[in-house]
Amino acid sequence: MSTTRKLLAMIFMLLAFTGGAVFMYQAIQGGRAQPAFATVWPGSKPLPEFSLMDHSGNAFTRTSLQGKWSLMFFGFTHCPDICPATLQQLAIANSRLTESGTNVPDIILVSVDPERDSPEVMAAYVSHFGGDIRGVTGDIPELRKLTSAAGIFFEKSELPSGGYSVDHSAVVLVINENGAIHASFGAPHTIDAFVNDVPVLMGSG
Amino acid sequence: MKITTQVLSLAAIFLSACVPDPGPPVSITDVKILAPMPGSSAGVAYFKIENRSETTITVSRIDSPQYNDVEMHETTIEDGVSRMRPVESIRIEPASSVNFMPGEKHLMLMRPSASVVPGSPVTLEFHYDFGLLIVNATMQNRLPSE
Repeated sequence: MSTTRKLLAMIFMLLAFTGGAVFMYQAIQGGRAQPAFATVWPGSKPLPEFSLMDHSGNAFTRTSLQGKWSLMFFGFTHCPDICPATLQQLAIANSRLTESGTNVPDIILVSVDPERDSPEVMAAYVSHFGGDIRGVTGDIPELRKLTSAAGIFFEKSELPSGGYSVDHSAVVLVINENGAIHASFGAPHTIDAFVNDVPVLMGSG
Repeated sequence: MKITTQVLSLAAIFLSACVPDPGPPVSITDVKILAPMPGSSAGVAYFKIENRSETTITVSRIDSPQYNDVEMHETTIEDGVSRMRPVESIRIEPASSVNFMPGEKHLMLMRPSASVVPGSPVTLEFHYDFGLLIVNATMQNRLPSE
């Protein structure tokens, strides 16, 4: 009888310990916020060396991305709707995060249309969004160094009217303080996705 | 007999006058014309084309006296890549509609014939199987306040 009681007590303690351990594990995992919309790149991906120029005429290199978080979008100023819509969403998201006292990332537009997007054109374009968007571009080979490493596609497409458009990836990259790709947002984009996930991503960097 | 015919004709005219006007079988609503972004001279227009007839209609062309070049385009995102392509014509099934909206079909307004700025009137001329529909709208600034 005494042996049976001891056995039962041991089984009870074992079950209680196991249950407690499972509860603790779940509590720890649940406490770590996860992005709801963005895809985190396992291990992050460092960017290679590249040499571009921003809309103020300053050099823009891999070093320019270090020490702060950035949201990077690839597009062009003649893009009729998806580029201005995405930049507007990013600007509004940053504005909302600033109002709530949250640190915000830099917003960078990389133009994949250097033929038309001079620094002057880019300066007028990014100022239209009211925020601190940095427009950058450069020679095609230098752009390719960045886009190839980031898995970004872009290609000129002639239009029957004689002009041209540029096909391009619509993803928004999240670059961490080390200048590495930490995550990405796939299109179509929403302001709520940026507002929800950007602080989570920046807190998990 | 002659009097009866005249009475019937008058009655028919009276009755037809009482039937509510169904309006044109095609209507253009929700028109929004957005100013070009800095660095570009191309405006963009969005709208809804509704076909209330019992026949499929095709919009073959849209013109504007304010622009020398007006093209219907469609933006698609496939495998994460955004592409914009011209659209030759728009087919609208009976009792259905087609929306021109951001990120999808849109009208490109290129090579303005005169200065067109936010607040300027812009006329769109829709050419379709059964005639011409003219819509007048006002150009808006590209970024609406939130």
